[in-house]
Amino acid sequence: MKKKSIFTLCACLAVCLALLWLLQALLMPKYMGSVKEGALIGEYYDNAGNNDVVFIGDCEVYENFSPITMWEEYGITSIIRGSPQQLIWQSYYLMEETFQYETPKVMVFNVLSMKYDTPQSTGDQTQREAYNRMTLDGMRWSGSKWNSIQASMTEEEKQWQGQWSYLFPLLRYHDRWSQLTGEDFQYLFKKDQVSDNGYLMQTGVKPFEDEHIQPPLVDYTFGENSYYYLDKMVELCKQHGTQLVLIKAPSLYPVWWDEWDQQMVEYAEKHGLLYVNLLEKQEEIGIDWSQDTYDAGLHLNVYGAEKLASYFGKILVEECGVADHRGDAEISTVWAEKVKTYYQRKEALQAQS
Amino acid sequence: MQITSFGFLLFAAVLLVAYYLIPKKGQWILLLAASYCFYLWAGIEYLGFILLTTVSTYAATMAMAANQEKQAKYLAENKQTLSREERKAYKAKGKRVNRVYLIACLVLNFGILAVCKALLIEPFKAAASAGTFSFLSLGLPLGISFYMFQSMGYAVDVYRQTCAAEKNPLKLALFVSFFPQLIQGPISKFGQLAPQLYSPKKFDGKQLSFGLQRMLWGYFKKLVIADRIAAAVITLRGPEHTGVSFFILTVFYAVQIYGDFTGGIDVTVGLAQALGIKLPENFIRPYFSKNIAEYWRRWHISLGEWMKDYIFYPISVSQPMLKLSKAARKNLGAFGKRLPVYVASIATWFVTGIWHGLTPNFVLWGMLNCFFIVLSEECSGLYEKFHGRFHLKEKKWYGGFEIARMFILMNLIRIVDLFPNVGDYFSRIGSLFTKFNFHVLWDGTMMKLGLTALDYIILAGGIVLMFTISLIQEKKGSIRELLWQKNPVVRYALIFALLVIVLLMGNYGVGYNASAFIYNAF
Amino acid sequence: MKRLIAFFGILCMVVGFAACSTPQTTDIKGTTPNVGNPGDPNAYYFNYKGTDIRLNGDMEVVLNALGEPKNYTEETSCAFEGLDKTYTYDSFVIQTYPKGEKDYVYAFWFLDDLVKTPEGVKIGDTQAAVEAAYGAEGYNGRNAYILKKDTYSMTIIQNDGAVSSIQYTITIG
Repeated sequence: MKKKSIFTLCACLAVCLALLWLLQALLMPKYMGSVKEGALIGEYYDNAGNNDVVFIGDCEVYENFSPITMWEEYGITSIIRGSPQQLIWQSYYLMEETFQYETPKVMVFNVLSMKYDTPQSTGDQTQREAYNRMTLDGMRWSGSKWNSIQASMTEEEKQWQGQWSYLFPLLRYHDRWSQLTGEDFQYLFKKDQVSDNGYLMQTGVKPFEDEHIQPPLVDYTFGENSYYYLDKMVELCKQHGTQLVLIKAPSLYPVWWDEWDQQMVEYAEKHGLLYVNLLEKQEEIGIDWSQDTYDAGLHLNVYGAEKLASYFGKILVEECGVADHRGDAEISTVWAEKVKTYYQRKEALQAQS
Repeated sequence: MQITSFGFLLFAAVLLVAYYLIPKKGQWILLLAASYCFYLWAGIEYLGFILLTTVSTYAATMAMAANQEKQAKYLAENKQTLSREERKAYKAKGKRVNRVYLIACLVLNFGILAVCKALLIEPFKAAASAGTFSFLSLGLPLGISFYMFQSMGYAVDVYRQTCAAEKNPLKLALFVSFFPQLIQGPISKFGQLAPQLYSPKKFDGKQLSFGLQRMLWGYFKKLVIADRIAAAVITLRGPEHTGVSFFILTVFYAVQIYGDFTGGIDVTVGLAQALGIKLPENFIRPYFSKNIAEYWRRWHISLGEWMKDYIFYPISVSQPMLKLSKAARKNLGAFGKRLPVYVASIATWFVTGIWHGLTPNFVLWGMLNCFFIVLSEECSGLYEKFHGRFHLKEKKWYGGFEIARMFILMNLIRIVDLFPNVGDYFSRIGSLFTKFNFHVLWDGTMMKLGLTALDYIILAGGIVLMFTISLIQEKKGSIRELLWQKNPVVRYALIFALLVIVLLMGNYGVGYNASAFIYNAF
Repeated sequence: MKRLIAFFGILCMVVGFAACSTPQTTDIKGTTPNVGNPGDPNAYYFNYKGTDIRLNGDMEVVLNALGEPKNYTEETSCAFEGLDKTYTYDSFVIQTYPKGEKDYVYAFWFLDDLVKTPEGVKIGDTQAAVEAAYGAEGYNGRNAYILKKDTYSMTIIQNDGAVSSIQYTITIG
């Protein structure tokens, strides 16, 4: 009798847990339709393992560089670990996690996020929390993820002991049941790849016309916390024998102040790093701001991203000695598939726009 | 640590597992450690408060006990030689000494409580935060009212010799700080709670299951109902809401406070039950009461009992009251008999009022309750005559009418909580008779209170569920017992359904305002 | 017991029905910043040719009064809907945020000394003039005065002893 009741209890518990897991999967945002950016971080794992170059950073990496072009032109295997408004500590922990899956020759980090010193300094906290989710929910479980969560939580998230809701996202998305759409059911178990090795393609064109301006700042010095994580990145890459390259993508907005640039130049010099401010190379890259941007200069569209990849690939080959893998049959087969998907996507998007 | 926080659940889970794994002798020590962890979580700055209460209570009760012991020994030894008068005089002297201990302990502790409460209101609040005593502007130490009442009740019991003094200071510390009930009661008596705290507990699956079920039900009431309706309660307090809107506020507040307070108590009592400790019931479906005296026997019972034992009773038997009683009986006839009771009631309700808050509205709240209790007592003769003539009591609908009448009356009294400005309260009450703005029900006002259509549907469903459960409890007894007799699969399915409802429809997490349990503030 | 099960059934149905009937707009997209109340009369403002330009003010009113700006740009935030808009006039710039169908002033700053704060301070003024108007309390000890009121802030930056920038913004959080 007792044995039977214990069995019933265990069986019921197992069923309940399974149902809760299913419920959680259903309620979590899928990021397949309009907010594709949220799916990027999770897509890394299927493409991890053999990349010589890993880009890490915010929208200025995942919108501006096309890894497929770098493969086609230079045989460079690269991937982007980007997410919207990725903060520097999130980049650091993504970098740390990347080394669990592969040891690339070069890590490329976009330095725009140096301007945010703490989760609180990023402005609106509701948006901040949503951005945190997009970067953190997609990560697989690891110490890096846990540390990234601890470093990223907003005050409100801390107040709710938000770390538990990262562990059990059901606790965060519990009230989404009233907003479920077909997408949530369609992608319950299997999601589509929305990116091409982390690159989120845009084919629209919205020319740059008027200069975007921002008011001058009281203080241009980057925060201590930002430098703390940048130092950690330098140290981490050194440990793994990976070259760290700092870049500022050629996006025209948010404004990249000269005072900021100067600090990065000095930092790179001091640590013997390569720092490339691509804003200064616009002509060499050949960006045509009437054609190569989909949002008036904030981000490049696919035409701009291909030009930038073509330009930056050369730097990777010439200054970092990244190898050409087009001769390797196994790698070529994998990448041929990626190239095919890329052009199919490009065609489909072009047809839409 | 909020009892609605994930941290609390984790804490409770770890405690439960550890509690039944360690040797049974150590269980009470674990409870003490857990209670202090819980307290420290609220802030180390509050630790001094609870320690002071524990130490002063221990010192006073030990002194009283030693004195009582000494006295008993002396009396036993000198039984032969002392005359009756001498014995009486000796006893009286001993009692005087003990009274000094007791009063010192009461004054110290209630003094702290009074200061803490006073610092919550202006002008003391401003003075505290501005002056050198800014450490005083901490806010109310966690659970201070509840552990204070519980400890002082114990001190009085020792003085009255209705319970023996606890010699082990750690055991006493556990009685004072026992963490589930530290937050918002119920206020237990030493004789009832303490033996349970210290005795070894064998694992009992049924008790554990019942306790957890009760916690879940508490979370349902708190998270799904009370915290959801809270937004509308806040909006409806605005000065533009008079007449019918004000009436709606009273009903919404009734729902909120019921869900909040009874929900919190369910979590507390449930967790204690899971630990094998039976706490006294604090609510017995109070909204089913038919008269105000019954209501107060069913609502916040442990506070009522405390007030009765330690305020009402001592006042009633005090010398001046006995004198008053004698004089009144002589001069005022039947009313004179009741007068001393009324006087003691007024004093008790006054204290209950200021315990809730040192603002005029809480005093008014106490006095209104007292007024209606006295009124109904005074009118009881009239009622009997009325019912003798019309036989309404035999009619089925009349019971419903009485319940509705009491519900509305209590709503109107209770709502004074929300109006620190008493004039404001009376003008709203006045508006009930002068403003008949029924159009607020359909002109869209209801959709501007901070609740969506979906919120209303969830609330309606939740309230119907609470009502149904209460009805079943009232008619058939414990729901959990009824469920226990069912097929376990059905039982688990129902519990799981409730869990899913709480998980999906609870107001918690980022995006919701952290709303502390209303009674944490007292 | 049967009644209880029936009740749960009804509850689930009610809830299910509710899920279909009430569209919600609080998904990640469309989250608008917490910026206070549009139309707040206590917010910082300045007056230009008889028009008050006020933080949290309706941009449509400003546009109707001042006409089209010299420059106009739109800025998206990654992954979020809604555009922040920047309107550049000869002597000042106004930025807006969207709420519902409308745009409200989120920030504005001065470009030259042809506009003044309501207290009479303009670009090029001395530190003494700033202190005469605002007192010394908001001074950061180096190069700026930062004044705060509710969720609003005003920043006056100095360069070589003269005011180089005057900015007003909503501080979001």
